[in-house]
Amino acid sequence: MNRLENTKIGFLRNNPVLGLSLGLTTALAVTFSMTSAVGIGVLTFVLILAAALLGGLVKMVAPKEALLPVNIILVAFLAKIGELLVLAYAPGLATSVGIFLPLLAVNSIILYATGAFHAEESMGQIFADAVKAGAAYLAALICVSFIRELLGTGGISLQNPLSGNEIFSFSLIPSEFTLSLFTQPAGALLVLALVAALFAAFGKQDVEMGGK
Amino acid sequence: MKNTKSLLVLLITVLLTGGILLFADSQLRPIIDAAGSSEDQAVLETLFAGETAFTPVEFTDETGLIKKVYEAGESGYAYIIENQGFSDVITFALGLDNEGNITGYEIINLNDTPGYGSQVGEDAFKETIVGKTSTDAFATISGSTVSSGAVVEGLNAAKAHYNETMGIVDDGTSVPETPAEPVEQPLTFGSKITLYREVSESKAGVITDTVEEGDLVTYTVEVAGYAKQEGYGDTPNVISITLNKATETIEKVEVLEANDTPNLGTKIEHPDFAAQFEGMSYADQAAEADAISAATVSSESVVNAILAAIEESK
Amino acid sequence: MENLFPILLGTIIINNLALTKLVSIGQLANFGDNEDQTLCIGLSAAVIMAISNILSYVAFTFVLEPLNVTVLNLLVYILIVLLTTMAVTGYIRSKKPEMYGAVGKVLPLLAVNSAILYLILDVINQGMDFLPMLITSIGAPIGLLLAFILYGAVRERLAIADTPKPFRGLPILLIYAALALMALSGLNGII
Repeated sequence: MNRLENTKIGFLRNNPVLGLSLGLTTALAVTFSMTSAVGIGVLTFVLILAAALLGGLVKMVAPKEALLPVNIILVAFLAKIGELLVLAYAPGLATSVGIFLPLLAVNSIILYATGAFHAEESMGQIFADAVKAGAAYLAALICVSFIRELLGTGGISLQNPLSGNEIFSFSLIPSEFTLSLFTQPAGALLVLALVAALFAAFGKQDVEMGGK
Repeated sequence: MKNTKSLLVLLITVLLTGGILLFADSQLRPIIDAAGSSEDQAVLETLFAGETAFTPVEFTDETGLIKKVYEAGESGYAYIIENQGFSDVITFALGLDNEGNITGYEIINLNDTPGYGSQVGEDAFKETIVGKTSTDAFATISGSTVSSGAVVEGLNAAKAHYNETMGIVDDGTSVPETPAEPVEQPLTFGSKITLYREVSESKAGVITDTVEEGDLVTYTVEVAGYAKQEGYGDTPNVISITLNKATETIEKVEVLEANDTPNLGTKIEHPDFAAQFEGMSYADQAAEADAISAATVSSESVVNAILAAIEESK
Repeated sequence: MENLFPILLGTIIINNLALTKLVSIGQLANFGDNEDQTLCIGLSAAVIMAISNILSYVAFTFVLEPLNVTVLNLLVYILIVLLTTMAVTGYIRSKKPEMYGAVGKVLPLLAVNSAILYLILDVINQGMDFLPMLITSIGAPIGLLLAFILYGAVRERLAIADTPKPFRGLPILLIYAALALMALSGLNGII
């Protein structure tokens, strides 16, 4: 991704998912409820940190051409470990996101975090970028899922994925005014688009279309 | 292209990660299996009272509807089934003992229309399933075909797997009993209809029969209901109205023929609807009745019939 | 044997992976600066998807499952996709050098296209038989190619359209995707 080599990851500006299209598939798929979004968001953040560490190690031993392929394998490996852990300790989360849990193997933000796109940067730099990216990603997921769940079901119900206990829940909009559109794929696209536009408006971002 | 070192690194990475994964799996697999079953544990225990040890069983299912199969100790088999209902996925559990009898049916997830699809979760429907055998056929519920059809499809998938496992041959000759009747739902009333109001000729009631018995006169009235007004059919609704001319009250109203939309307009046949007219005084110019919500036109047709009867009696 | 034609039609249009299951949108939205590039990338993606789907199915059915090492599934699938991608990239580099100059940086990233992995996982989760899997391996890549072309066309139009500033780029494209999805969902239940 040519544009990635030059842009700095940010929060409002160049948000990894909302501005740079990283990890879009996961974002669209898990934000139908805040519980899943937070669960997968935190998992992704952890995987991002692990990816940054492993990516740094790889950089020390691998020649430049091998960097991308090896990192791709590493991301698949990390995603599988993540899947096993979620299946073991948070099975409810696994069932609710279904096939999108193993799809973390091709989540571009985790690949980005390995530093495969920035072959020249130092490990410390890569790690800092990864942390920023992961945090911004989680924040974006929370924003989108909040809106989707609120407008789609009328309230928010946040549960602890590990134990199934409710952390908090509230109901705001009466059910006659909710649109189940928002919990479905089309709604995912719309809300993500609107949140992205919102972030861009606040961040005064200037990303051109065309992959430059 | 890649040089040797790159290939080597790639190979080592693959081997290393593969090895770690195999190790992780051996450690985590027992926890994963336990976690998977614990989700279902509560439901499974309801299906098989007294059993606590449920072991997941590997299975092949062409329909894709069976999500999990458990061996319930020595007592039999349990199935977790999922199928697309009307508005959402329906998940339910089915228990069969070792003799081919269905011992339990529990809904895990059901989000269909209250009063219609939701009937697959009610006792009336459950009673048509529990106690049957794995070679019996199941009937859908009229009025909620999609939801009950989904459940029946799932039941058939479970039966097929069970019969194959136990070596039972299902010759498919069993016929489902007559479709389970929808549970009688209480009426919900909507807007009010005033008795004395202008009624156009096409909507007015036509008296076809009069029977007098002292102060009581029974009129048989034909009145255009929703179907006839909208042009769907030529059959009017037929209402029998008994008036007490002395007290100027309505003695009784009976809907003889309701030819409007099944399950909507035909609700005027519900005893609660006619009951509201009994004893109603038609001397009161402000007399009014409650229309059944979502069946206003049909309800109005009954009131029009009553009005025609009253006018005839004067 | 169920009707195979509906499967073909279904995967190309009605259940088009990218348009209805929302996978691979990141790549659809950003790869290819002009028509030719988009076509090249789309074709490559389709070929990679077809080959790796069949190979992964074979690997799972005849190696992973019998040996009870299904935990290696993601690793194996990604490896297969990666190797196929490298093969296709090499082919383009040798047969079409100018095109390679333009898209060379992007092609290897097709290895992490979510549509490709999604298809592999889905086919195996559904427990498909060989023939339906084969048909799907033809239909779904065609669908992906279609998606690339559609998105490419939309992006060309959007490039000259006067979009409000915050919506430029990803947001307006996602709104297009939402509209396309809603239109396609009208085809539900046709087959």
